[in-house]
Amino acid sequence: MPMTHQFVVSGADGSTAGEVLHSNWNADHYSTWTNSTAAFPEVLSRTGVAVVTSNSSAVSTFFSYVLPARVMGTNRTLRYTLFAEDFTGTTAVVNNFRWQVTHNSSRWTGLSTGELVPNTTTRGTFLQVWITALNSSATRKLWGRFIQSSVSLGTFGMGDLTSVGAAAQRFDLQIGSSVTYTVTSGAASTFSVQFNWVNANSSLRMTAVYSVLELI
Amino acid sequence: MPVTHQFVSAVAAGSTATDVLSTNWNADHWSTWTNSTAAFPETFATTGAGITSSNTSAVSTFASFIIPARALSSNRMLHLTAFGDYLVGSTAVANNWNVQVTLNSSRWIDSISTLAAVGAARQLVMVDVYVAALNSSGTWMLCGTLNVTTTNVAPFGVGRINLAGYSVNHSNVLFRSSATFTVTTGAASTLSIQFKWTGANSSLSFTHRSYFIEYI
Repeated sequence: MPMTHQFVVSGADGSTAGEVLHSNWNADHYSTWTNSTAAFPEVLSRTGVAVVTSNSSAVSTFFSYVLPARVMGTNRTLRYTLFAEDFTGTTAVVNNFRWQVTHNSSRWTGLSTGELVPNTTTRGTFLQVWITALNSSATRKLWGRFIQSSVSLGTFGMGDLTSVGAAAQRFDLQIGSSVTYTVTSGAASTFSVQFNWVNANSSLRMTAVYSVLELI
Repeated sequence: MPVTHQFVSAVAAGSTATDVLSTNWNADHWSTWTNSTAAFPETFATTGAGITSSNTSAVSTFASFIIPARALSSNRMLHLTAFGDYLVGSTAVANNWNVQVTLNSSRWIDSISTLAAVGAARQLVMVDVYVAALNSSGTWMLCGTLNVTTTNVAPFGVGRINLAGYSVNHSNVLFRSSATFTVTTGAASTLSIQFKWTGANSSLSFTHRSYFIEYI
């Protein structure tokens, strides 16, 4: 979050008040509106490497990031965004699936048990998660939004604008951890997003396409 | 994304290791958590210029942005957010509309063909478009969400919270291009959002209010 020069001067400061001293050069930069060193958002991780799970009921970790101790300070927010797609080739199998978002041992887990319609093409999933530091005592809250499209197509591409109301979306829900929770101050913590099919079948495929984690 | 000083020093770098050299001054800045020069999001473009399409079935381009060659590199993402609203003054006309999100020749297109109600107030449209690079070979994905309110109004303003489920919105769609696609590495690309009424009528008015693009 703080912004610095790449080169760090190791020499001692001079004593001329009108000069830029070594410590000035090494200092975090300020934002001009808030005079803050913590005002700059930072992208902690991006990945376009696809993670695919098919014909397996094993848990796949789509994204995992070790958050450095104190990275969130007293009031920072993490924002995670995931794009994924799935394919259900037949209804002749138990094609239910589970998503899980965890921060250390706190989590949201959702289970879909109503997958009745095979796809004519891949279907989109959008997941956005926010984790906020509520104070300096490492109290956190996790919430987010989970959207999965229906199997409906657009005129070109995927996503049906014509269907009124719920028909264009399989799911559109707000998610969250059950309560606020606490991580250990001064220790790293792990954020992860996982998925598994309830049963293995070769007609089932979920692909995590792109993930990005921002510190805001 | 990389942050630099406005002033570029043209002086040749000296040779004293503990000095701040001209190359140090000219170098991209770092984030301190990831030690990365590419960690800082940037706003590419923003406009508040309203563009109105009324009494015409011609295509209106509401947002168009040229993505510089290699801007997305191997894993960067663009996030475009656009706001608009429209009014259907009479149901005695063909009051359907089409929307198109394109990136070069890859696109999502769909239409609303079920606008049965005359708007007591303008209906709101919000579009979020995400374009991400999946690798360094120019393989990209395009997806997003589009939300359209119903004609229901709140006690004040537009958008009603007192209706359950999806009945407050006319459309919620998670859209995407049919598949990942490839752009020419080393060439610029164009991202655009276009709109048109299916039939021209003076009772139909769509106004694009603003958009902004974040480079993440």
